[in-house]
Amino acid sequence: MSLLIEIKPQARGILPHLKEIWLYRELVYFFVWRDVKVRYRQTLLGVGWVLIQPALITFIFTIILSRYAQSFIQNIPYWLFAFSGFVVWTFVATAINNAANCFVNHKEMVTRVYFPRLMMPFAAVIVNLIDLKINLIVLLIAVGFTIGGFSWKILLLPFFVFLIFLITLSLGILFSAFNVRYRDVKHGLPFVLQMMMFATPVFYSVEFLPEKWRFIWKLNPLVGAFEGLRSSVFDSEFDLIGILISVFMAFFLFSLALYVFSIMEENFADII
Amino acid sequence: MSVVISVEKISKKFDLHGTQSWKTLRDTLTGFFQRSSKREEKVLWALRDVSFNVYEGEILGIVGHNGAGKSTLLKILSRIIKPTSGVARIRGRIGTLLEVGTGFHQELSGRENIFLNGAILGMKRKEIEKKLDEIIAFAEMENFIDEPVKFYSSGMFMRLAFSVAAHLDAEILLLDEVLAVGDVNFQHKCLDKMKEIMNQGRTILFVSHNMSAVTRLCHRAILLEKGRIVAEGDTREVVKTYLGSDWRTRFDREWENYVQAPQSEVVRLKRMRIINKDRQTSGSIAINEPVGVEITYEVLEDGHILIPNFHFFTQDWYQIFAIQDVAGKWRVTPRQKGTYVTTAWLNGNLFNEGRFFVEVAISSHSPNRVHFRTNEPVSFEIFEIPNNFYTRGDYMGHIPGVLRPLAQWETECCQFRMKSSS
Repeated sequence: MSLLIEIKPQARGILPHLKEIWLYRELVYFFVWRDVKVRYRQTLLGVGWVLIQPALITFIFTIILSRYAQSFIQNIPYWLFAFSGFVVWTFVATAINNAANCFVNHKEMVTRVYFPRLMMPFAAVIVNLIDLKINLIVLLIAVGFTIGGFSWKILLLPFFVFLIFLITLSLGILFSAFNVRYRDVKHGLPFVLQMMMFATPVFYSVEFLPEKWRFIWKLNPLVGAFEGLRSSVFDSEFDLIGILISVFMAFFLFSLALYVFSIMEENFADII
Repeated sequence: MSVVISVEKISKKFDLHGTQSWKTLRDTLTGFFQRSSKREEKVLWALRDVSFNVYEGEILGIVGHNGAGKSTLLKILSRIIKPTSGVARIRGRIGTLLEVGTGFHQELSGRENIFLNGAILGMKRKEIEKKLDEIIAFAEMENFIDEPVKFYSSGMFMRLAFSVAAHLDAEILLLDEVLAVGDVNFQHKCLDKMKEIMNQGRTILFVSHNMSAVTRLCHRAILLEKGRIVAEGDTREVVKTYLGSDWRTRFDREWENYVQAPQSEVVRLKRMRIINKDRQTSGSIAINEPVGVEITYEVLEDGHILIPNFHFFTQDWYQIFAIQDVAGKWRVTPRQKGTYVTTAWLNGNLFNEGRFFVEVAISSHSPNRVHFRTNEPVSFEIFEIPNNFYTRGDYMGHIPGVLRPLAQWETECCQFRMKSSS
C-alpha cells in the first residue's frame, strides 16, 4: 500500500507526469501495436501506401523543378535529392496530423478512462516511425545504387532522424492539446503544414535562397535537421551552426510542449 | 481498518454556456467553441463539499438520482476530471470501470482487444498473458476470440469487456452501473464475480440504480442528492431513504423515449403502473382491496413464448416474493409482434400496511433467458381502513410483519368442562 495518489485542483507540473509516463510505458507499445495492426487492414495496396505518397510527389516536383534545381546540386540527381526530402517530410506531416487528432478522434478514451494523456500523441508519432523506417531503407538503397556508396557521415543518420522525431513530437503534442480546446486546429492545420513544407528544405536546399534570408530560415529547427540528414546521406559538408540551432530549438520546443501540455490536459475531459 | 480513500470537501463546478442544459453541455462544447465573450455566467455544482472515507476491504454503494453527482464523483476519484476544490487521497492501485469496453477497436480480434483494453485499464502485459485464458473462459468466448470485434453481438461485446475489467488486479475498484448491461443471466454471473472480488478483500466503490445489487453487495452506502451527501451508513437504511424520497415513489412509469426503456431485441417495456380494482392508476390501495400491477409492452420479434414476472420488495429492499404469468394461453403460445397489456391481480388482505416496490421482468423459459428487468421500481402504499374486521378485529395496536394475509380460522371446542364439579 505504498502508492499514494493525491487528487487536487492544482496542476501537477511536469515531473510527476514524466514519472507516470514511465509507469505506463507499455501503453504506448499497445497503442502503437493497435495502429500498426489496423492501419492497412482492408486496403488494396497495403504497405504500398507508405511508398506511394513520397514517390508520387517526388515525381511531380522532379518534372517541375529538376532543370532549374540541378545547377545547385551538381553531383546528385534532383529526383533523389527531392525523394530524400519527401520521405522525411511525409513522416513529419502525417505524424503531426495524427497526433493533433488523437484526442478528438478518441474522445471516449479521454472521458471514460484515466491514463497519462501524453501517451496518445506520443504513440501517434511513434507509429509513423515505422513507415519512415521503410522509406529510409528504400532511400538508402536508391542512393547506394545511384551514387555508389556512403561515407562515415551515414553513421550520423540516426541522430538526425531522432532530431526530426523530437521536433515532430513536440509539434504533435502542442497541436493535440490545442485541438481539444479549439477545433480551429482541425481547419488550420493542413494550411500550417503546407506552409511548413515550404519553409523547410524538403524539395530545395538552403543554398537556393538569397544569402540574407538563410539565417532567418535556419531558425526553423527543421531546416538544420533536414540539411544535416541530407549531408549524412549524400556525404556533403555539415552546416554545424544550422545543426546546433536545430538541436537547441528542438529541446526548447520539446520542453515548451511538455509544459503547455501539462497545463492544458487538466481539463481535457471537461471540454472535449 | 485503515482508510484507503479519503475524500475531503470535494466540489466540482461546471460552467454552463448560454441556455444549454447540462445534458447538452458536452455537445455544445464539441460542436463549436465559445469564448468568454459569449459566455453567460451559469454554473452547476455537480458536487458540493462531499467528504467521506472508505476503509480497506469495504464495498461502498453510491446511490442517487440521475444528475445527483455519482458519476462525477467516480470520475474525479479515477482522475478523469479534476475537482474544483477539495482533496482526495487514494492509497493503492486503482482500477476504473466507468463504462466497460472503452478503447475496444472494432477491427481487432477479441484476443487483441483483451490486451489493448487491459493495458488501458492499467494492466501489465505479463499480467494479461497470465490471465488470458481465465478472461476468455469467463466471457464464454472460446469460439469467437479470434474474430474481429465488429462481428460480435452487443451481448458478446459486453461480456468480454466486463471479463477483462473483472480480472483487473487493482486494490481499489470503481464501478459504475456495469451490471445494468448484458443479459440478466450474465449479470448474475457478474454479481457472483463481484462477490468473489469482495472476498479477496478489495475495496470497491459501486454506483448503481439497481437496488438489489446495492443491498446485496454493499456494506455501507451514501446517498447523493444535488451534489451533496444526504444520507450515509447502513445500506438498507440508505436505500430506504433513497426510495422514500418523493421522486422515487412513482406508481406509474412510462418510457416515451424508447432508447431508455428496459428491453431486448425481442420485447420492450412501454409502461408499468399500479392499479386499483377499478383499473385506475393509484399509488395507495386499501388493505382489503386487490392490488393490480399492469404492464404494457411491445413484442418486436415473432415466435417467442414470453412470461412476464413481477418481483415484490419491502422498503428496505428485501424481496418478499416473485410471481409469474402461468395463466393458460400465453404460457404455451409464441407471441406475434404487437402491443400487449398484462395485469397481475393480488387479492386484498395480503400485504400489511406500508410501502412496497415492484420490479418487472420478462423471461422465456426454454432456453432460459431474461429479456429485461427494470431498474427503477414502481411502488404502492397499503393503508388501513377504519373498522377493519378482516384482519384487525378489535385489536387497536401495531400489527407486525410484511404481510397480513387473511387466514381461515377454526376453533373447535373439544371438551367443555363443567363449572365447579366438586
